[in-house]
Amino acid sequence: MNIYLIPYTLARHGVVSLITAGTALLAWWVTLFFVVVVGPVAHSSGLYWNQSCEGAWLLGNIAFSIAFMSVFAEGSLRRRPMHYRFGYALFGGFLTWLMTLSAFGLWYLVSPYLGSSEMRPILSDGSLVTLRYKLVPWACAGVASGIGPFIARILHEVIARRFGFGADSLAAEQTPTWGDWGMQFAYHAAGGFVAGTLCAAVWHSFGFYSLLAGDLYLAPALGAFTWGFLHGLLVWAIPDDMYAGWVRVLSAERFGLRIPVPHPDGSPSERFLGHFPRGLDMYLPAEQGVAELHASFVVDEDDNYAVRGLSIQPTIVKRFLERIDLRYDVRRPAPLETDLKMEDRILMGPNQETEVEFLMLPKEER
Amino acid sequence: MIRVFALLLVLVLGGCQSEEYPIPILGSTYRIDKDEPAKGSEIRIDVLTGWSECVNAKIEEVDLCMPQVDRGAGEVRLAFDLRDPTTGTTLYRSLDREQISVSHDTSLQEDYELIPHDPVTAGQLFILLIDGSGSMYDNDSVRAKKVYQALLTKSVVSGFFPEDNAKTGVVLLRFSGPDVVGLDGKAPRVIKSAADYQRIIKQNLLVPTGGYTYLYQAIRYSVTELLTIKDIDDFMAVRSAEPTLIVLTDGFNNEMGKDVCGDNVPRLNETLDLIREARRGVGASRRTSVYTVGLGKPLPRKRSKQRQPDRFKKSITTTELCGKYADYKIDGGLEDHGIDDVSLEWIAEAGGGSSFVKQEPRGLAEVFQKAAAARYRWYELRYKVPDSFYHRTSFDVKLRLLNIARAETSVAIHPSAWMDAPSGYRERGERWTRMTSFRSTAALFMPIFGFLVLLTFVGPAWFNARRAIFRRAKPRKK
Repeated sequence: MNIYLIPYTLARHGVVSLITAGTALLAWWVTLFFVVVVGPVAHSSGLYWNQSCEGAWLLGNIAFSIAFMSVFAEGSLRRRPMHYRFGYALFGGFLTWLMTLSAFGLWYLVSPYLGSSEMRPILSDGSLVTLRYKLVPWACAGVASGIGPFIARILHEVIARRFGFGADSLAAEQTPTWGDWGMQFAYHAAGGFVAGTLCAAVWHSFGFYSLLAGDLYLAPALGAFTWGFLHGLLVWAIPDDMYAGWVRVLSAERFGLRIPVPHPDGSPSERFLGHFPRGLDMYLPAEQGVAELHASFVVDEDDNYAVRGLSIQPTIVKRFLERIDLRYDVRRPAPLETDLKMEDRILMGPNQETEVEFLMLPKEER
Repeated sequence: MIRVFALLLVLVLGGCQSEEYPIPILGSTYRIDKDEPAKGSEIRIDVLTGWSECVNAKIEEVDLCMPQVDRGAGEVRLAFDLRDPTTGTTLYRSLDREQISVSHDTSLQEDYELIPHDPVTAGQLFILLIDGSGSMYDNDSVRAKKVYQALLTKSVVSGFFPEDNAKTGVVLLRFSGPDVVGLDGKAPRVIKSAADYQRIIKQNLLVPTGGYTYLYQAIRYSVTELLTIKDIDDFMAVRSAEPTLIVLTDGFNNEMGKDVCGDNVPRLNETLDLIREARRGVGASRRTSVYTVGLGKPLPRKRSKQRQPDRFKKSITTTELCGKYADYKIDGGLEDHGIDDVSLEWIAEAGGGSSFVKQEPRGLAEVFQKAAAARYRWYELRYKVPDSFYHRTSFDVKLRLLNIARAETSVAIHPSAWMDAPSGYRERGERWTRMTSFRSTAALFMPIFGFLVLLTFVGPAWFNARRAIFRRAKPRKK
C-alpha cells in the first residue's frame, strides 16, 4: 500500500477494506486447502487433527489475516521501517489468533451445557451447523480481530514516542490522549464485533438457504469477505493526519505553483496570497486582478482548513452548487472566511482572472 | 515466552486425532467412521471407507469406490462389498435395488441407486428342484408344460450357462413321494452343458410321475445330503461354485392323505431350522441360496403384516401359516384352491433368496433368470436426501440386505460444521452430481482477488481522469 495511490476522496475509506477483504478471502482459501488437500495427506502420514479444530482454524486464520493486514497496512502507509512493520503486524495477528482460539475453546466446552440434557448430545456434535450456537465464536473472533490490532497500535505508539523505536516517518504530530485511545478502542472493538457478527449472518444465510447456495462452500468465503471489508471500513480508516492541505494555482499565469498550508511540524499556520513582492507565501501578478494582500489560507491545531478574503477585490470560493463571496466588508471588524474542502476553487479578480484550488495531498508530497 | 509456547503446544496436541478413524472423505470436508456390522449378520456388508480399503479389495475403479458426499445436493455415495463374516472372503452376489434398504439416520431412503461393478465369472451351481407330484400333470400336464416352456427359454438357458463362464452347472431334481432323484430318474449329477440340459428336460420333464408332495423333505435333502454327493461336492470345490436352489411347486407340502394345514407347522419349522443351520454351519461361500417358485395362485387368505416372514423370528405359528384353515384338509381341499405361498416365503427368507408366485411361462422364465443373474464383486450405492438440512449434523448410513441374508451395517459420517469443498456439478440429464476439483476454487478466488486489486487502483485512476476532464491538470487558456 502506498499513500501516493490513495487520493483524498471518499474512496480512501474503502482502500483498507479492499485489502483486508482480499486477505480474509485468502485466509479462507488457505484453510480450505489445508483441510481438503493437506488433510488426507496428513492423515495417511499419521498426523491428523480433530474435526472440531477446523472451525477454530477457520476463524483463527481469518481473524489473524485481517488483524495482520490492518496493522501492516497502517505501517505501510506511515512508511514504518520494514521489520517493525512486520513485527507489529505479526504481534497483532498473533494476539488475535490466540484470543480467537481461546474463545472458541471455551465456547466449545461450555456450549453443550447451555441446552437441556436431551440436547446435549446434539450440541456436543462437532458437525452441528447452527447459527444459534456458532454466533458466539464468530462474534468473539470479530472482537478479537479488533482488539489485537488495537493492542499492537497502542504498543507501537508507546514504544515509539517514549523510546523512539520504530517511529513512523509519517506519524501523527500530536500525542494521543486517553480520550483518543478510548475512542480508538471503541472503534476497534465495536467494528470487529459488527464485522464478525455480520460475517456469521452471511455464512449462515448462504449455508442455510438453498436459493443462495445451500452449502458451506460459498458461505464462509463470502463471510470472510464481509468480515474483512467491514473491518477495514469500521476499525481503522486512513486518518486525516496523513494528508496536508495545499494551495495550487490553476490559472495560466504561474500554473501549477503550489504551497503547503501547515507548517512542517504540523502546527497551526496562515499562508498569504497577493501581489506584494516580498514576504507573502504566494506571489500572484497584479495584472491578473490580484490585490496586494488578497487572501489567506488557515489551518488550526485540529487540521481544519479555511480561506479568508482580505481584499475588497472579488474573492469567490466555488464548489459544486455553491458560491461563497469572501470580499472584504469594511463595515465588519474581521475578514470573512469559510471552511475549505478538497478541490475547492478560489477565484480572484474583477473578472475572475486568477484561479487557485485547495488540495489535500499526502504529507510525503512535501 | 515459554508459557506461550507451552500454551501453543497444548492447543496443538489437544487438536490431534489419536485414532485412525474417522478418516477424511477425499475432495470434501466430511469424515467417515469405520463401518460397524450389526450383531448376528450372516453376511458382512463391508463399506469401503477409504483409499486403502478400496486398494485392499483390489478394486481398479478406485475413484468410484471412494466415498463421496455433496452437501448442496444432499448426496452420499458409498461403495461396499459382501464378505464372509468369519473368513473375510469376498462373496459375489447378485443384488438389485429391491434387495437393499438404505437409512439416513433412522429415515428410510427412497431416492437411491445401486450400481453393480465388476461382474465375476465365479462358479455357480443351480439346483432345480421340481415338484413331480400328480397335480403337476393334471389337465393334460398343463403346469408341467409351463415349466418345460420356461426352462427351455433361450434367456434362461443362457442364464444357467453363460457363454463367457464355463464354471456353471445345473442339477435337475424331481421329487415325487419321499424320493428325490435326478430328472432322468438317475442319481443326481451336475449337468455342465446347455445341450445336455436341454436334452434331459426335453426327454424327461413331461413324463408323468405321481405321489404326495414331500416338499419340505426334498428341500431339507437339497441343502444338506445332496451337496455331499461326490460329483456335486467336487464340482463346487474345483470351480468354487456357490449353490443356488430353485424350488418349483404347485401346491402344499402334503405327505399323507389325511394331512391338514396345521400338520405342516412343525414340519416347516424343522425345515426352516435346518436351512438356517445349514447356512450357518458352513462358510458363506458354500451357503445355499434358496429361491421358491409357486406355480399357480396363492391360497386366498387374509394377509397381514404378521404373516410376512420376520427376519429375526425363528419359528412360524399355526396362525401365521394357516390362518383360519388350520384344520382344513390339504389333499382334495386346500390345494384345489391355491398354493401355499406363505411357507414358500418363509423358506426363501430362511434361505436368503426370494419367493415368487407365477402362473405363466414368461413369469417363470423371469424368475429363473433372476436366480441365475450375474454376480458382482462390489456395489456402489448412491442416495440423495431431500434437503441439505439433513447434512447439518453427524449422521449414520445404515445398509440392510433384504431377503438375501441377515446383514446390516451402519457407518457414521461427520460433515464439517464450518465449510465445504467446492459443490458438485450436474451434467444435463444426469441424476447425480459429479465431484468438482479443488482447482476450481481458483475460479472463485482469483477473479474476486483480481477485482479487489483492480478496485484499489480505480480510486486514483478516476481521480486523475476527472481532473483531466475538468481541465485541472493543464492550464486554461488566457
